[in-house]
Amino acid sequence: MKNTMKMLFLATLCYSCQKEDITIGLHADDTFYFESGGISMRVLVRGNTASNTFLVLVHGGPGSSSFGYDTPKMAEIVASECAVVFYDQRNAGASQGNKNVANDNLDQYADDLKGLIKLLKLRYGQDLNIFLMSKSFGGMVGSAFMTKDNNQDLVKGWLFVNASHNYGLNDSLTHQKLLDASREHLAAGIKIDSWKPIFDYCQNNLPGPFTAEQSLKLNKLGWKAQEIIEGMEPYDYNVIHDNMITEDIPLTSYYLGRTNAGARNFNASLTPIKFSAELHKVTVPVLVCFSKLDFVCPEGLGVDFMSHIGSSDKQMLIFEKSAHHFEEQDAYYNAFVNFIIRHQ
Amino acid sequence: MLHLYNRYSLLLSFTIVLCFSNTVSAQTSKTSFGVKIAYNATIIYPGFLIGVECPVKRIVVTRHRMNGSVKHFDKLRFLSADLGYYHHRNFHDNLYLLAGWVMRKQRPRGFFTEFSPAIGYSRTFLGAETYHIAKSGTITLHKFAGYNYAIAAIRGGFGYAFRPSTSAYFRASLLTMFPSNNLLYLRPTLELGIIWRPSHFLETRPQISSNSKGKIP
Repeated sequence: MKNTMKMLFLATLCYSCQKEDITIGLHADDTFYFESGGISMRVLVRGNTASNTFLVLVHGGPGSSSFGYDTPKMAEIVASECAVVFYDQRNAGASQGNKNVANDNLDQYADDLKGLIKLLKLRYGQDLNIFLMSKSFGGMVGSAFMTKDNNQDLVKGWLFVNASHNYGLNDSLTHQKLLDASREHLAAGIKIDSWKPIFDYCQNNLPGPFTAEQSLKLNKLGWKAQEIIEGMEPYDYNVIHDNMITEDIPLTSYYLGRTNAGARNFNASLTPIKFSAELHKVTVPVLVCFSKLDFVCPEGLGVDFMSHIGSSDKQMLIFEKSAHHFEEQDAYYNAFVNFIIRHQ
Repeated sequence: MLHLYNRYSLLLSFTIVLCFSNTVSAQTSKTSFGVKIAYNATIIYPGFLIGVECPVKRIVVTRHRMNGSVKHFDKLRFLSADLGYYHHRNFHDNLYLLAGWVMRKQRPRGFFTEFSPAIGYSRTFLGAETYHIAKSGTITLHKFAGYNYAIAAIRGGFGYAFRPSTSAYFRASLLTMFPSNNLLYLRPTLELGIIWRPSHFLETRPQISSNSKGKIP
């Protein structure tokens, strides 16, 4: 029995053989993990690693994952020009570990990101041009990272896309946008049954410092509003469904990460965090992209970001037919690529 | 430390199996342990399962129906010890050990259904190279990185005994591993395998009893 166990153990180890898999080329597809603060986070580097330019996607959530960003358009427009780094933050997507509540804080997320960038340089070359792309909650992670120590020296530029750097302001802006849109639709008699509950909630919960529960509710109503608003470019991708088999997506881990995060104390701890006053420390070039129809991270966040950021090289783009996802994918991704090419 | 933990888990599982097999040595003829070998796929990710099941109890049930017919079936109880494995590309390899209680209902023609709760230990190996980043910023390659989990499973399935010593079976399981990412990890698996009961292999004496249900017309 002992020998059988040994054989099985060795077979397993051989099967999951862990040699380094580093591709320098036009079509890299490297998966690896990095262990930091008690969790091993999955990283997928895909695309043109030979360009020496890497775009690190800092996904939303908390608890979402990078699987959702891996669309055919992303591959066609962005990954052909540079390497795209899809990484799952702690407790999200395909990341794995045991209990790590003590490390579930924004500072650790920033340290994880710093560790990842150092690892990328170790694997692919110290002279890499690294760009960050923060989306949604990734804006908080990006802000924590960029305003800490001299971390910004590690990156060439920062793309701040439909993202948040100030949850309090985010809630106020979402509240106002929901109130305005619902009032307008009710007055015009459009989708009254859908807009009425949104209007009622916003009327009964007036702006002020919102609690964590109110913040979550506003976020949910923001998503709801995006489902019923008119004028959005259709978004054809159900990435998780389409890539489930080909990308080996661990579905239960993916869904548990999303649901788990909503209930975690970590989410509530983010409510009072504001980076507006610290953004003056950031001087690298920034591209700020927001959407007209985004109720989750309204464009007002971009305006506040632009007014506080210390960078002299800064540009803000507004996408008229998009909401919180990159619905106008061609326009978004071409803007990313243009910014990267200009600053690499 | 890990090796010790592994060893203790193994010892514990088999001690439970053996202890139970002794305590129920009561009334009738000896019965061999069953050896189980199965293809253990987690939907599309391959794996295997090997195990043994120790017969603990057999209840011969006779059910008298109102129309006068009589139905016979056996309720069989086993203690099981299983070693399972699956490979999920780019995610992890999971090697796990389960000790379970099998409740099987076997019809005279050989068809059976079963339900089995189990608990055990799991060790995963991450699906790609893993780097450890220390607080100091030092980066090292971490060989055989993975995690230890407690594991609980509920399993249910059906099978057919096409010979007294050989059965084929299909079983679906839901593995629950914890603590995982501050909570738990769920993994459905499907087994397709055979149970072989070789003669004179780890023999034990299961307790046998009978139970009659319904009124005799």
